[in-house]
Amino acid sequence: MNRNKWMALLSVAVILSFVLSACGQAATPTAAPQPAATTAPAQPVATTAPAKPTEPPKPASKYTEAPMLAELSKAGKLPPVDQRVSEEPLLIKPIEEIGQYGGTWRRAWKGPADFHAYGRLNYEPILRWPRDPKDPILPGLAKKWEFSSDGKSLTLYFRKGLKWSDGQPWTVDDIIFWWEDIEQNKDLTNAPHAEWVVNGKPMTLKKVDDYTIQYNFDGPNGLVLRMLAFHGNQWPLNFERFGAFAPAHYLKQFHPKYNTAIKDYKQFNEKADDLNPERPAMTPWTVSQYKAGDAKLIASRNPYYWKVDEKGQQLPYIDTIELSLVENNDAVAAKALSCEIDMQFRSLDLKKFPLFKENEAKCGYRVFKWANAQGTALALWPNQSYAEDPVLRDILQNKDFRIALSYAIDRKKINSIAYLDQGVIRSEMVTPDSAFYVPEVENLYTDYDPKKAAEYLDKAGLKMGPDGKVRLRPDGKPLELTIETERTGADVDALQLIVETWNAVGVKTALKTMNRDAFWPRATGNQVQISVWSTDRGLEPFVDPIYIFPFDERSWMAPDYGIYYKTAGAKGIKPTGKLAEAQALFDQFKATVDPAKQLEIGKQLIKMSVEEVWTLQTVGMTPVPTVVKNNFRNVPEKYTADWIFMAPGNLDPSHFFFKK
Amino acid sequence: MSASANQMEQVLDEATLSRAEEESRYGLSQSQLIWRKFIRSRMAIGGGVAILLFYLVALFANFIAPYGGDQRFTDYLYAPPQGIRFDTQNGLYIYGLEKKVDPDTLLTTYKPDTTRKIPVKFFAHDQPYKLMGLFDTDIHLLGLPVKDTGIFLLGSDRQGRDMLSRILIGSQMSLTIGLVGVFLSLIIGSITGVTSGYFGGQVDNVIQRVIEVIRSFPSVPLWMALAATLPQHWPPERIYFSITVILSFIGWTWLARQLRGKVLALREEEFVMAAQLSGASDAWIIFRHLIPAVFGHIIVIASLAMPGMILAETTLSFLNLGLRPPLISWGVLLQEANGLENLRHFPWLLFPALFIAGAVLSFNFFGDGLRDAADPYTM
Amino acid sequence: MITFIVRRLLAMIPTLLLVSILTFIIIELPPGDFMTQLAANVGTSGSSMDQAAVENLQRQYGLDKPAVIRYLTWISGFPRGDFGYSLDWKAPVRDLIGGRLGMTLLLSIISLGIMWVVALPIGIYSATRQYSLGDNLLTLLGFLGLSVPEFVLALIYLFVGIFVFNISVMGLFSSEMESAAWSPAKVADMAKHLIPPAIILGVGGMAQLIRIMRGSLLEILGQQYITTARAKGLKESVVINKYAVRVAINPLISVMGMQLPNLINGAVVLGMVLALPTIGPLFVRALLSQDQYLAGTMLLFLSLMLMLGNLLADVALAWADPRIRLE
Repeated sequence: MNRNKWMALLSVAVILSFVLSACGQAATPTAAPQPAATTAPAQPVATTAPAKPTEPPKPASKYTEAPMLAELSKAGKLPPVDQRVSEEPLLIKPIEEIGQYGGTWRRAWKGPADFHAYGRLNYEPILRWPRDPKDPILPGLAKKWEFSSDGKSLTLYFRKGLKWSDGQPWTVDDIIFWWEDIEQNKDLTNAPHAEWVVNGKPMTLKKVDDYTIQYNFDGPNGLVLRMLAFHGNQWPLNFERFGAFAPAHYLKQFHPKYNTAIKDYKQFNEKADDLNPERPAMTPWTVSQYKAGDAKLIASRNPYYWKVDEKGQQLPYIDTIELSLVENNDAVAAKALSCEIDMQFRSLDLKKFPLFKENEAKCGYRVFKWANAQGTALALWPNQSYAEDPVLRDILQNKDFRIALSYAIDRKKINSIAYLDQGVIRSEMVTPDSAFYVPEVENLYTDYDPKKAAEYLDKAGLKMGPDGKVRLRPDGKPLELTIETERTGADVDALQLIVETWNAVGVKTALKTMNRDAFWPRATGNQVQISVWSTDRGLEPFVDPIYIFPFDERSWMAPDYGIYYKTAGAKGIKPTGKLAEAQALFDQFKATVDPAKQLEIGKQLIKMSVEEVWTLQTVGMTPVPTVVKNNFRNVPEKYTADWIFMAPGNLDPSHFFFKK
Repeated sequence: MSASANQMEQVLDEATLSRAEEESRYGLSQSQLIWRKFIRSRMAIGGGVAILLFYLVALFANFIAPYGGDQRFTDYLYAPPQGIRFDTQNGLYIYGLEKKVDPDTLLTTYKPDTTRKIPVKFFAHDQPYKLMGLFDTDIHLLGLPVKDTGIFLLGSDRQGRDMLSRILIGSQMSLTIGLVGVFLSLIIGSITGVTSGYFGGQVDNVIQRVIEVIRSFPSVPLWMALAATLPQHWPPERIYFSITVILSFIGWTWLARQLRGKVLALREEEFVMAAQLSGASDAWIIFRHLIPAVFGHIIVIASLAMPGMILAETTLSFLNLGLRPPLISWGVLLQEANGLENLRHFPWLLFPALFIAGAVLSFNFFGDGLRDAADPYTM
Repeated sequence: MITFIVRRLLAMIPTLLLVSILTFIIIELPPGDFMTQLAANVGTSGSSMDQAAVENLQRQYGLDKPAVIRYLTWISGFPRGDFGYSLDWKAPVRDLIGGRLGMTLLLSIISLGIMWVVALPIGIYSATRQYSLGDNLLTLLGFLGLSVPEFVLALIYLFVGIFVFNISVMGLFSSEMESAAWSPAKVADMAKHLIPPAIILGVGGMAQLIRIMRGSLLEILGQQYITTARAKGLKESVVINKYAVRVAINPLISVMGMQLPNLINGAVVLGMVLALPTIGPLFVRALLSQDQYLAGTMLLFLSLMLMLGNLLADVALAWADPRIRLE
């Protein structure tokens, strides 16, 4: 083979690899939507052509729309805006000011597993969380609701004329489709979620008319309003697979029950997926361009969005959202540092705060310190249902022991090492702006006091052993504990500190680190002595109260007691004492629809949880660095980010805008 | 690796023999010849000396290090490297550190506090440790008479731990994991390679096929995949040992291939036939005759494999797939140095890279010189 | 020549099969699977996936079948171009790999090219000025490049790039270029993002190439026909470039083949530090989330790349040295 042929082969190889990589990289050029970067609002077009004499003058439009939509509706490609926003659109009051149309919101995400980077901006449940946690729940897709006098029945009234993003009408049939063909379909959902089940019986739905529906429960359901705000979105929310409605007109064709040609649910799942560009939605933006591995996910405005501002402008203001795919948190930070992020707090680490601050002038953004809705960023749970060692379990169940452990934690040092001294040392499970806040238990047993710790250990009957280093258990063996965690980085530093201070008071402690999927089954399987996590849900803890008392297997203060509660006694171990009291209290909470009563019970539960030291809290409310470009408005400087509220979802991202 | 490439290397080695050596080699023993050739290369000697130093330091790391690997100064997180000064009044001393936190950016910076001169003590008493794992002592080479601040010759890290101490103590892990890995490779590789070459036929075929399959995997991805299989809650010692096993998973194949070639040639030599005729078993021949005959070659390959092992451990730990805290190794230290904020504000966290480069460089020079020297007879 | 290549290709197939089995075993070894991973992640977001839900999903995606069946299903799809389904990305593996493999290849090839272009003149310089200061210095630098781990060089490059020069260093394109249509500007942008990593990748191999070039050239310069050419009055530069170098290049071709494993390894790690869309970051993610088919397919393809690279090197050698073809 001569040299020339060889060169040819080599060139072919190079070209081939170029082509391969180009195919992987290239976004189809023509499909990119036009970001309408108009600098002026739509001007009324001065017609030079004579008006057609036969057309009657159109009535003045009640609402206005974005310029790019105005073009389409003028050309007849879209119905006029009044018909698109439903007969009773939701009015959004601005956080700062009325906004202007236009712009592309750039962010960074790490792939479908990082779905919340997109999903939280596009979250439209049946009811909405308020901006101020102390306010009551707000209307969403439903404009009003009422309970029957016995609390067993909830009637929801939806906005007339609601439309999906493809123009098809939205009715309560979409809720019924979800309930009957998805949630109660064993092939798709294992069992209906606990929120729709009361006294072991799933709810029944009754359609009153196209826009009115009745939820009927076996008993009063005190949680249903919260659930409609938390899980009242379009199914399936990625792999999390919860929701309250689904586009029947689109999905029925892929459902085996309605289309006999379909044999399984593979295609159904694919089509229902949130990142499917063809799927209709009720959100401000819908995915317009995305396939797996694309460098950018692009979402464009939904012409049938049902919210307007005070001036009657149809929301959203921003035309498109662009999510750039990056590999890790460092790459997200690099994007922010090269000024390519307009507003984001997700995946930005606190440790990088000085870095972001330094670049404020260069990139023209502000860095906010939004507080995490955390009771604590690093929580430890002595497992009170630990089965493998009954003597140790009794010790863990001893309140004095837990108080001692709490006194033997140096929270100031933890704050320094792990949180840049920005956290708040506290013991309370919720944040001060929560409706359930109980000021008296903000700081119980949070001082670093080895002497007091030793006192309480002695009180608990754990005397120091002969070597003066390790205390002895009632059965004579040395007192040894193992902390298990999946945390990494600075959290592990903090845990090592705790290991040292506990060792210093005579509790021999070891730390085991592992991956999340190795840790999770152990923790939920009641195999861990001391588990570690953070306690979020700091604004609204009772939607999913796993940290307050043993609620289910994720309550690592006593997973087996939690399983007992979850399965109503079928599995797990029956709790006693205060833990059982707490479970009974929550039953009362669930059984009343009176908000005042719920407030009272809730506060009682919080107080009990902290006083009994079921959770060892350390440092909480650590800030999240939030990068917001200077011209990106309607974003408040002070805010508590709670993922239950799908932060920043409850700030109405649809009314964020680029100020020109 | 293609066999033809090996041939190429051998051809080059032969070509560099000088005539004078050809004459003198008939008069000297093999080891004398090797030594002579070896000391001609200054770089090889330099490498060898450096390696010795590295291991000596690792042996006495706890003594040379001012502090323990986990000793924290929580008031001095991310302190920059300090220099030792001298004046006639105080002798050797360092300045105290003045900490400042910028209220706006939350960045912590340090300035030397020229009003506070802390003398540096030699043979200071500090955190106790076991010298060479045997003797309890608490004497360190350097230290300060005060306990509220530390001497941070290479800076401190995010928990306020002295970088120099951690690097020195980390050398123990990084330098020995390679040795153990190489040792494992040696054992498996020697036995397999010699057996394969000696027996030939089916045995040879099967072993060669296994080697080929293993060598088809690119090493780093294979190590990553193997490391991902380790149960994460294992105690650190077990993880350490498992990592060495993983590292030697590919390493032994190279040695086996090389030895096989040598043995194929040796097989025809007369001493083998003599041994067989006098009734020696195959195992005897393999272990008592063949392996010692290729021993020199084994040593060369071992020293050439070390740099790869050190880099492999570093890479795996950097990717969080190898050793993890609280174990200390150079790879773990580099993993802790990763992050944009560290690069920007605390670049001294990258110092372990210098040590890694130094160790790998030394092994490269040494192994190179050894390889050039170990073939005074062309085989 | 053709028969040589064909023979080698055919011999690769059984090896590939064995490699695929070994790959599958290794990927299967960690306990659990993607769904158990998911249960851990989902549990943090307000639902709990209990055992029954996990089993449901496992059934839906075929993860509950025995390993042998899953292996056969997976491998039987290869001739059709079906490499399984990635659960992490919710897409067929085939859609995810193509671009990444191409990028890894591109990076390696560019790196190889740079290695050649740089190492050759340096090697010639070193040989013609043996033991000079320049020679020793270059040798030292070369070795230094060999000894510093690639990701450290990448970190330094990151630092200098972002904080000193303020250029876009991570990823493949700057933000503006990312979704733009292909144009000379876009190619230039991609080159700007690819060349530095390619250089970093090649630094280690460069040292080896330089040494071998130097040694080979030295040997040839001692030969008689070179002395003859000089005696005949040819200019020194002609002697070196036209006669000596041409012959000295041959051993380098085989060394090039030896570089391929290092390049692939380096590309994997480098891709992670610089967030390049190569195999590396995708592979680690697949390993950690137990996205089995994605991880397995990638490992298999990496091995295939290695084998093909070795084949190319051997072909090149055989072309240069006819004796090998007889083997």
